[in-house]
Amino acid sequence: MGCVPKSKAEKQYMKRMLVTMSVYLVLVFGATWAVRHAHVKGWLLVVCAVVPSLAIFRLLQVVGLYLKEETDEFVRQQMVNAILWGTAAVLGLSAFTDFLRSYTGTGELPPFTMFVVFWMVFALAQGIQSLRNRVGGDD
Amino acid sequence: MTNHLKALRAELGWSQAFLAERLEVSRQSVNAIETGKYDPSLPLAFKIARLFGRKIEEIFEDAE
Repeated sequence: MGCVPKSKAEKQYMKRMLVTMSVYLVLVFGATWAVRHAHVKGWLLVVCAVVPSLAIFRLLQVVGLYLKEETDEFVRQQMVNAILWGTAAVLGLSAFTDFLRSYTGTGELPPFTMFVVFWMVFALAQGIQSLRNRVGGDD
Repeated sequence: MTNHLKALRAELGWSQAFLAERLEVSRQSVNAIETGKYDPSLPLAFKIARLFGRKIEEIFEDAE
């Protein structure tokens, strides 16, 4: 994902990601405001809890669309690797904390930790791969 | 798998960027194939072979 010029699929991915993240931020702030200040209750409260996650589903769809549209198989493989790294980190961490919670009653992580961990490891894996596969001067 | 992509490219005086453009992949991909970091799929290997007018086995060799 880090090489220039970007492919058509990569440009689409960046555009969709930007739009989705913007919508996500609006939804999160909107839902938070509604819960904290408008004191919504009942089914509206459930709606406020569900709505921001819709943007997350879209985010995952955007990644899926990129994998479908990217014609450069090597670049696509790098993305898949990053997803696998993120997934491994989340599954490993959740297994560890689940065992900890089961045996000691401690180890509960704050909400959204797994989500943040996934994207951080995903970004880290992409950065490492970009460094590993950087190209020098052309001959 | 090993390959002779770099040598074949040099014979024709092509740059990685030019080859990447002809193959419709990134230069990063060409570099990864040349340095043995990545083995291309069969369709891409065929595309490379067609481009150089060679058989696949003349470009790619089993390392064993």
